[in-house]
Amino acid sequence: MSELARMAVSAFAPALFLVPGWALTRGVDGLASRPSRTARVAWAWLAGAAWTGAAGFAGSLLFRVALNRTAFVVIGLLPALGAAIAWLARGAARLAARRPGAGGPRRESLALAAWAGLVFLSLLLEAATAPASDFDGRMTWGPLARHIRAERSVLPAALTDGTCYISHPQYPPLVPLLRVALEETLDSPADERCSRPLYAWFFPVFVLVLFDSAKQLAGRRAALAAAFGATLLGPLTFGSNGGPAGTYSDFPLGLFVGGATAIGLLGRGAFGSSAISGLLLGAAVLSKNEGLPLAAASALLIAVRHWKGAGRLVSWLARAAGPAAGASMAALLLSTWRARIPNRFDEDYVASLLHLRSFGPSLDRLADGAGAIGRECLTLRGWWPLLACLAILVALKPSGSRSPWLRPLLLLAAVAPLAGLAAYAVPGWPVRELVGSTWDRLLTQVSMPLLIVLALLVRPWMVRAGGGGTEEPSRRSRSAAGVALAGRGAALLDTGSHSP
Amino acid sequence: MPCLAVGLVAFALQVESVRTMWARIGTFAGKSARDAARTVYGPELAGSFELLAGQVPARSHYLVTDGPNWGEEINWMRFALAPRRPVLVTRLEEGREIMVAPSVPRDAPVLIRSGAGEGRPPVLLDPVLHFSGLPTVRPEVEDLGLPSGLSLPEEGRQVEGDLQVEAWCLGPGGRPCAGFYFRIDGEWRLPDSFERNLGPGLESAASTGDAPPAERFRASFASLKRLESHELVVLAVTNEANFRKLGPRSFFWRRRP
Repeated sequence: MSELARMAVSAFAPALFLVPGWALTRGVDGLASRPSRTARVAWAWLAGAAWTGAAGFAGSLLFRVALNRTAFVVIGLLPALGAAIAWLARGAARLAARRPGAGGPRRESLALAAWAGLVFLSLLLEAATAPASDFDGRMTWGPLARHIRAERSVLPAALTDGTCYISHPQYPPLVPLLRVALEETLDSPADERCSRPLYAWFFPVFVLVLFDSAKQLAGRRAALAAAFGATLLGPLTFGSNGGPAGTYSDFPLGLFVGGATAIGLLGRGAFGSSAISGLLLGAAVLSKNEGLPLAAASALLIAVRHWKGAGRLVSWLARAAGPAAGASMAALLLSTWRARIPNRFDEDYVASLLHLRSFGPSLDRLADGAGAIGRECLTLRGWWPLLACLAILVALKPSGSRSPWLRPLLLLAAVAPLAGLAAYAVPGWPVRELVGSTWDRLLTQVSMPLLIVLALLVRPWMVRAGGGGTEEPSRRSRSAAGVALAGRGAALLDTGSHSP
Repeated sequence: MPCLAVGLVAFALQVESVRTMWARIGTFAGKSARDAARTVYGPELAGSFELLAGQVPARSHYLVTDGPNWGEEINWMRFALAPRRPVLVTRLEEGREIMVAPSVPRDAPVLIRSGAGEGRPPVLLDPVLHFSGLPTVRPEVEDLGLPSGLSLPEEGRQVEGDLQVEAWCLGPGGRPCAGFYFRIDGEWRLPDSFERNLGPGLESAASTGDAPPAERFRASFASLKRLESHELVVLAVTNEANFRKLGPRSFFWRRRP
């Protein structure tokens, strides 16, 4: 295969996740009937990636399935088989009739598509041509993928043999497993450039899922502002320390958690959206250590929000059970997997925190860390644009920005930074170095809720600028076959000035 | 309006990032995996990775010992050699060699000293030579009570020509130590010459403490690598397989003019 052909195949290989994803989301209320085709594709890809990783992990761990091409093809086609049966049972006409026309894209959407497309193209080509240059990717995630592929198992000897020098052997392996899925399916050579484009693919999916979710909560223009914001942030675009230009698992984790929360909150309560939310939260748990607290917070947030709006227990359970079950099952799988792997070359922050004898050194570290965090936030290609805009909008306090979603989303966004602060308090590694290598990544993990908060805050300004007529989120959503918010939440958003 | 200004500044920065990204694409486009790795790691480091990959069968394990300066090369090496399985044998912590692996697979095909930092490539070592005195690197059998002394080279001094090492060590019962092993800049080295029982007529450049001159030894090394400064550690092993570490000692070296 020529170098050009290899590059082209590598760049577009991640599209394979659309096969199971399309089938998984086809029957889901609130996803299949999205007016925007690009949004449907983004949700399908995300669900397909989560399914492939989670099913591959469970299959290898519980049933010792060899993770080869056959296994991944079966994993990919299983949902399609289920969808085909459901389609035959329900009838094609019924499904097709539920999808409203999207109308043509508007000028602002085209501008976003052009700019985000350029960013994506840059990321994709760079990933397909250049080897990884980030630190953890080369130390942890890349070797993990290669060990899994070599033995076609999520329990390769490199992990289970305690003498093996593997950094963080108990790190959740879902994203490296996705790399293996692509490499095995396409029988790629042992060249990391064949699977690096996977990380680039998470970028457009992030932008589309963010836009789609924010649109339902804050209207189209505010969602556009948030999506543009995402494309203008260095850590979410060309950042290799946790961003899509690197090979860390933080950006995928941020997308899994953000997507799960959005669909969990916005779903109409049907089993489908609840299950997809659970699948995405399960993928989050299997992606990184921080995935568990984030998934737990997200599942709790979904349960509490629906408790307020639910009329009946059954209805509440239908909405809340999926996310909780997905996160719990993944946590159980992960602990089963970890039980087989002797831990070494790892920092146990939780145990260290529990055994703290004095808080004095920890407080000194936090004081030292606060300065480092401030510097990180003000880095030229860092988070300052988002943080500055959030600060400005909060200071201006536009009327109508008191959305009922603000507080829960901010609480979710606080989980990862708070976990980081707890780790910074543990004596050991110099706190400034620790902040320098982790703070960006912690914010990346909660970037989706932060950007939706930006959309909510900016919404009143957008409504004023646009005359308000086209900015009502729920009017469009309702007309789109009841995709969006139901009941009280929608009413609150319609008026835009209600307090929770 | 302020947010719009922030957005414009961020956009300008992103445009610059896009330009950088395309420059990187231009650098790597059309390159084979081998050439791309050489561009990232440099020809010397990438070349050593290729050499090592040829030495260790795929999915086999290999032994790693820490370089004198902890560098990132050990991580790049692990990535380059995966799915081969590294077993970290020793690690240097504050100048002290710590045994990390609870047990060392004796059938490992090669032993690699990880890079010495600053982009220096890892080096293939002879595991037989390295582990001929394996008990000597177990920290729990180091006997700090063994009388010993390292008189040459002197700390921080410059050495010209052959490196002369003079030392002594007595085991239990006042018997001289049975074996001596030399680690220079993290590598175990065999000396070019070795003399025991220097005798009373030979005086060293520095005091040897209470050592009976007859128990002293002298080893010489004809050449060292071109490094700014060097570090020597001598392991003196007793008949009982206890050991005493002499050093580390830093010195400068240059060829005889």
